[in-house]
Amino acid sequence: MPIIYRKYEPPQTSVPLATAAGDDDASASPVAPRETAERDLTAIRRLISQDLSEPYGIYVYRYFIYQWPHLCFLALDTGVRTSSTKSLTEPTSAEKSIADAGTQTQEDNLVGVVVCKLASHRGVKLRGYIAMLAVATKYRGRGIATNLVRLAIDCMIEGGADEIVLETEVDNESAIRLYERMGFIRSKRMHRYYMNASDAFRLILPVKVESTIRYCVLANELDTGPRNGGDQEVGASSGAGDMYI
Amino acid sequence: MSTLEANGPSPMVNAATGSDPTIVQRPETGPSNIPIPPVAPNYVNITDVFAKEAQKIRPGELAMLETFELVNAINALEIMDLKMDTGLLDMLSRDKEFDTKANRAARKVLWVMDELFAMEMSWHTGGALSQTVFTCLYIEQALKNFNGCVSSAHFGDESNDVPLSSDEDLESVFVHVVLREFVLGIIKTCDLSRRRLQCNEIMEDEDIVTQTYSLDLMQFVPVSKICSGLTEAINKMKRLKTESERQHVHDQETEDLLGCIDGFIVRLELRILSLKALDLADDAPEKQIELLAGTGDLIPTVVSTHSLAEPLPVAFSIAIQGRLECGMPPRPKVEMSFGDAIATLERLINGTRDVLRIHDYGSLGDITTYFEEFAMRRPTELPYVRCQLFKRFFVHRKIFGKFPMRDAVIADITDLCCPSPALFAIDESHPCRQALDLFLTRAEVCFENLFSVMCHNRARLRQRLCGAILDWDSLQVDSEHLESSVEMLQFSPLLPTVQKSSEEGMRALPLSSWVYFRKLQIMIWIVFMGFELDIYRLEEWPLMLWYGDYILGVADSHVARIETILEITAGMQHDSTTHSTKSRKSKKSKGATSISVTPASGALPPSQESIIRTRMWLAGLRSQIGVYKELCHGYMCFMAALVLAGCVRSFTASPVDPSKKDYTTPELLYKLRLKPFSTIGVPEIPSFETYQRLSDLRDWQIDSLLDNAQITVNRARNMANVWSKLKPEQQINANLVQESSAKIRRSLTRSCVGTNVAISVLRQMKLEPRSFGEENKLKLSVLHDNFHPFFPVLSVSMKQ
Repeated sequence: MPIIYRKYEPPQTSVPLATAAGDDDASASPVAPRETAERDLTAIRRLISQDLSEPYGIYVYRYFIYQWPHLCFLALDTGVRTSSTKSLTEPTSAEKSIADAGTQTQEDNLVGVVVCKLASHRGVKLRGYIAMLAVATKYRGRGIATNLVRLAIDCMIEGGADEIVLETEVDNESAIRLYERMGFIRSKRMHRYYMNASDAFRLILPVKVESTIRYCVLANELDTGPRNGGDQEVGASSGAGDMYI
Repeated sequence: MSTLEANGPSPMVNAATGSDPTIVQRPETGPSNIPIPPVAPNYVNITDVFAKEAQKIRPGELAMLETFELVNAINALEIMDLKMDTGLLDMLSRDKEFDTKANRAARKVLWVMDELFAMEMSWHTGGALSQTVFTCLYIEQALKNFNGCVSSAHFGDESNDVPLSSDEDLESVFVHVVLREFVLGIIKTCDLSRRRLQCNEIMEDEDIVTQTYSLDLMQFVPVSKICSGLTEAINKMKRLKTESERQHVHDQETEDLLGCIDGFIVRLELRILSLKALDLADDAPEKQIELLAGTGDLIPTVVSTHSLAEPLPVAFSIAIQGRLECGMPPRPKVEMSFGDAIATLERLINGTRDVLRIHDYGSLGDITTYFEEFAMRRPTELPYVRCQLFKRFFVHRKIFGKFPMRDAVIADITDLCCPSPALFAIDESHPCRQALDLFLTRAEVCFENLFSVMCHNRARLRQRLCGAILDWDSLQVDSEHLESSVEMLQFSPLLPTVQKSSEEGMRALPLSSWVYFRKLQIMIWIVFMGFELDIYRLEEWPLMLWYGDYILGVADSHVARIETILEITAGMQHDSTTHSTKSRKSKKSKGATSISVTPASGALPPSQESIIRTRMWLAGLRSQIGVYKELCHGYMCFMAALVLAGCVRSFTASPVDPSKKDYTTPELLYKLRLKPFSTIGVPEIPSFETYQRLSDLRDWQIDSLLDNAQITVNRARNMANVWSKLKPEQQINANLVQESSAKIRRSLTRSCVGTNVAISVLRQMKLEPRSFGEENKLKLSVLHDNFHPFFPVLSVSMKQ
């Protein structure tokens, strides 16, 4: 079954979004009819919810996806479509991967998704954040998660990210392996981070020299504040930044 | 629709205010009878406005304020979604059909008591009250009816009909006397624990959740009142038992009933002792020990009667969350087995008892060592115990409410550096007095913070230490500035050394030496806790072992320097004593050829006793650093062999599969990994190029690396053995940790043995050098159990 990748298509009309770094190129995303956008959102939520021990509210999805639609990538099983669809098992760039955007039909089946954010972190660096990643159970082990993450990272780097971060459960070996293969390292362990009492690792991928210099100068990354302080990304529910492949 | 209807307070919240929601009543047992003016909410019907405005928003549109953050999105309720709306959960639940007034068999009551106890222990291990204790419908009913007066907290309905229990009706007595008093006891123990758990050392939501969802856990009800209710219930059960025994009926039913009654009595007794122990948590340790010992003594009977319990699961429901003042989505009940609950209670009792031992300290240094050992324990002590330690230790901003933190700082400096006692006794007129005071004040803050940090969970502890080194680094700058002033040099006279020319000499600089040592110690903890917490992936092990080895080397040299100065001082004191004795005898002064023991006015020499203490302290530190360093070196060689054999990727190689696009570089990762130390002035982080050069394995052979690994690990093992055999009289500041220190040292020996086994396994495989990425047959896994936390063992086996 050929898998294609495309960006999430935001609704045709939307109210002004909160100003945030990384929003500038939001207009670059294709614009979908409202029904398509809502259908995508529902499908995304359904896919991600399957693997979470505690679900996220619709507001969490809207928070990420409506503000950073260009950082949400979908993997679709094109099902019956064959000849006109380009299979992308090894995408090398976001452009190549989304070549087929706009050609999907109702039969397309959402089998994987990555949801991200790109925003200023404490005013000193631009931080990309992988909030959610999920692949349908029967499609796991085929590199779909890796492709989705690569698409998202490429896009965040293009958007100027200094670093990419995420959190994952300490015993989610497959997720940790996937991210570490890309160069992520564990920056810290967080005690009982998830609601199911699991510890989490924060993983960081530094992508720019400058960001590291700013690290050194400011040294403000040392999370000594309260647990739910500004440094917190998600963490209110199991599976934030997590993935299941 | 009105706001009241949409977001109306839950029945449980309204319960305390009686029938009129606008009147707030003060609990009758409250501290005063000051009248509180009634709060009259100004409700406005917004239904029409809301509906009109909602029309303007099209489906899927995001309307939000700029201040709307992720945390708001997470906490927002999604109405009418079964997974997200606790109100819907409540509506659909049938738990309201459960009759808390109904009579229940003794066995079922016993089960409810044990399940409630398990929920209490589950809360102590991190579950929210809404997922643990509050899931009990009896708790809900009692709190719902509670209006400040204990008698109001019954299991009847809201019409305030207090269910009467007749002594004739046993099952009514079991519910409305035994279970009710037990439930009130649980509520009060939660109240007392919760208030104690609110401290800086315990992280809300991470270690414990103290949120009560606006419910009053009988805060103003005196413990004595709850205890007298429990005592009455016990007496009633004892009378019942006596009467039953008089009837001489020996059938199984009666036997079971008597067993249940015994079970009730022991559970109620345990509750009384728990309440008293919590209530008197700050009192004399002797009283606490007595109460805790009494509680522990009851546990076997509680366990033996548990088999009689018959489940009544409908007495618990998570739908209660819909009736709480709680914004989070439905969460499952945090289950805990009875066995685990008993084990948790034992940990609470034993941990709290152990904490009380700090009162048996011989010196302030004993307490410092105790905290360090306490933080290293595995499993980490429960939040209540950790909180109890700091609260016992630091009372009214003083150690045990008696000594200022400055005393502990001075004791620590004295134990490590043995400065002239005159240093801390300079009078007001001394030009450095103000600067010294300022330094000591800052040192007090850093030192107090260190005690506080030691009470955190291990993951948080490491993060806090990363912050603490910045403070210590800054303190080091202050201390060096202070000690470089001419007036302070009298306390650090130029001492002759054999290594250096007489012009150079050495200065003791006790303040700077102390700060630097403590800072290095924190750095060592941060580095090696990374192994303990699995923060480093295997390819980072060689880097962090190398950096750890480097910091240990710096620490060892620093302690060696302090040791050298101590011995020079001691030697000079000896010479001086001999000289003055001879002088007295010969009545002839020959004049000193070396620097005098009292090199400047006011700088008295340290006492012989102080010198001996410091000598022992330094010897212990060097033993510890020595073992760590050798073992670290052995691990480095072992890891280098694995890298050379292609089993572990080299850190300096590309971080990703060469066929894929690189997002980062080894240098960026190097800087990120060593980031906690990047702002430290001394010791400076070696450059990436230095690491790259030193980690080049091209001239090495796997066998020679393994030989080196084995030699150093064996050396570490021998050193650990010697260290662990030190007699109490050969150690200082170890009065409170003799047993636990020995245990930690044995775990070091086990790490040596485990690594030796891994080295032997690897040697037998006769691996050839190859680059990483080629298929290898090895399976590597990190083992933590029973090994030293800082030195987990890498297990090597063949892949299946």
